[in-house]
Amino acid sequence: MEKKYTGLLYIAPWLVGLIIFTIYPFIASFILSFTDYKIIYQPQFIGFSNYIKMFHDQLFWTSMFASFKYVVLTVPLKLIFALFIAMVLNFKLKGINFYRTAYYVPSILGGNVAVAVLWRFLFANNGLINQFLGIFGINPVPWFSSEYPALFTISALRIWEFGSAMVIFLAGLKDIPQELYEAAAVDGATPIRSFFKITIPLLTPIIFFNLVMQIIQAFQEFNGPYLITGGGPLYKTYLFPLLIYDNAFKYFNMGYASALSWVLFIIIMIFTALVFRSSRYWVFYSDSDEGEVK
Amino acid sequence: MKRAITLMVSLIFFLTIILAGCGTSKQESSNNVQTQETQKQITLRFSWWGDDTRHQATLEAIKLFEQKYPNIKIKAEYAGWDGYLDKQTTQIAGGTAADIMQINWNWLPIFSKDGNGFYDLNKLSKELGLEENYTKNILQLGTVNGKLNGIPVALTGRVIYYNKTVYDKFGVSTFPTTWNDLINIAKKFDKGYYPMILGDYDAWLLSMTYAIQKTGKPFIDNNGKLAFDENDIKIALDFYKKLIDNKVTPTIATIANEGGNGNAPIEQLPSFIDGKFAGLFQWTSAVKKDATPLKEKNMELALGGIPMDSDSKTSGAILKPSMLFAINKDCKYPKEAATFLNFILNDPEGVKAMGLNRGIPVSKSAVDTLQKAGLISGLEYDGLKFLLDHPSVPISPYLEDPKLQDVYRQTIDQISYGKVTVDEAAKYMYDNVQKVLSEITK
Repeated sequence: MEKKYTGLLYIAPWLVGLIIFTIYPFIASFILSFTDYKIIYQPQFIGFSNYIKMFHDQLFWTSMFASFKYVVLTVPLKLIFALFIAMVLNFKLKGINFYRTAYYVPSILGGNVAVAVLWRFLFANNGLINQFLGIFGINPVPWFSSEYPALFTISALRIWEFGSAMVIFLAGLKDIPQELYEAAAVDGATPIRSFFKITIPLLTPIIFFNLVMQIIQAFQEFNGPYLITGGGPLYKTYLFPLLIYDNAFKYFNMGYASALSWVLFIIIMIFTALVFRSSRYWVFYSDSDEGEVK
Repeated sequence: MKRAITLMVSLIFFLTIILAGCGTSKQESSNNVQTQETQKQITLRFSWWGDDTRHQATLEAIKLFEQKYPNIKIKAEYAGWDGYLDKQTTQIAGGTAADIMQINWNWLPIFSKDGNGFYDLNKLSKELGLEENYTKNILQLGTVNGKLNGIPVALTGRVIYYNKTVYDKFGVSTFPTTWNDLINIAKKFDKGYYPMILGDYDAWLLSMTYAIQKTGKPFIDNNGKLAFDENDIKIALDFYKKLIDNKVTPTIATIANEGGNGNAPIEQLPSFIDGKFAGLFQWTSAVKKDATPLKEKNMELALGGIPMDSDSKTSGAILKPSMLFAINKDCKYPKEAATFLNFILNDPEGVKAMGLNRGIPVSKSAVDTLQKAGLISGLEYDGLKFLLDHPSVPISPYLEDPKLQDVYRQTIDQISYGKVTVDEAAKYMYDNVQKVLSEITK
């Protein structure tokens, strides 16, 4: 009897945190999403009005569109970049551990406000990037003040934080048996051919995992656009989480903001489910008989 | 073991109670105050936001007050501006707000739509020295529904300040007094130099000022209804288009390019510090921080005022309380709270300690005291004096509603980026301001 609860006691710090910071807000936001809640007045139950309101809210569609564009731009680039760096770091170079650490650093700093501010300076009109381009006689690019590069500038910040995806790729690469490459080389396969026929197929479970994680993260991106562009110019970088934030903490429409959060949650769920569904067609597990190494 | 479980369960319970809302804790804490303190000893909580110099000055004033009134203790609760409204909102909602609060003017419609959100200070007129120190017009600014919700501490308003050094360089010796002159001087400026910088929000406020001058109407009336019609808005937006076309102000893209337009404050923009953006439309209370970096570069910021054409119906001046002091509607000791407010607002001893950290005070006796001490002068005072000498139609506290601000900014951005014609922008703005106003005044 006592033993049963001892374990519970050990995980109590985590459990308390989970209840207070995850489960309670989770349930509360669901209930609040059906109310009109301005914080200083008691919440009023208004049924599905908040969800209906979204369809008429122009900003809802604008920010949704911006978020999708952001995800489509960021996720593949980041995965390719992370994989590329992981491949490079997989070579047996001198001092390789130092480089592995160094390339991981941006991910630790990534969510940091200071880095977003740094980004603002780097990409400013007379910032380092434009000065560098100036050496080659390229005119200054309005990185975040004109409509088109703005979203890319925000994406670049995310892509630069490739560290966690890279580390996972690196672990995956190390798991690929060396004999396969040797056998392929004996059969006359070029390195490029082995990359597409050995590395990629054997790495698909890792790609799958990273893809799911990155999609979830990208949909939730807030710091970058909030601090660098403030959602501008002309709402081109006004990602969905910014809409939630503005409604919650700028306009104090907590009910509507809760409803928006749930919509975001559902969208992420759908995409995750889609990726999981599609995975049976492109993910190969080398130790199962379902998929096979082609 | 059992004790540990009990402890854990009670811990979770305790935390849940805190989360579930602090609705009851207000009463508990004031009960504590009553039982703990000896008979006449009273503790009042006073909350404000500000920077460190304001904190120190206020704490000093509190110390002097406690020496003068040993039976009243003031518990100071202070923080920076960031996130202050969130905190204040939670406290008011939970009934745990301080007894005496420093509040922002546009919070009145948020917290006290019917005038019952704060203590009616008219009831404490004598203790607060209202009649001797404040004009009716000033008190009107803190009144909702006939109830005095807050005493304006200081006033602030928007005027143009200009970089005199740069203007002189281009042969402009005084700031233009008419709008046409303002547009004409832009031609004298070298490429890359602009007579002023207007971010999207500043741009709207200046254009609105122009349209108020032309029409003589307020933008939003006293009842929170839009008083401008679509055509009046068009007058304002046409004017803004003219300003960017004639290079009186850089486009929003140019400003954003420097990291500005709402993200970095003007005083941090390289072009402003270098004198290329040679003027700004700023709150009088905030001008100091713009003047400082220029001074370091041996440039002088001077008052430009607000240009006016001969056919102007009014000055269009935007003047509002920069902040107010209010008393909690559930305060147990309103008289004592009023005594404290009187001390820091009107009593020479308190006024001197408070200094100019909340702007130039409106209280007559405070102004007297500070003038005698030779403390009132400079850009802020010049700007305020200009605004007080050029009265205009009343400004609505709804003007600065965050959602409306987004509408203004969006409209100005669309024009500046050349996405819409002025007619389309005027229609967009008219429709959306109506929509937002009907939502927030509901």
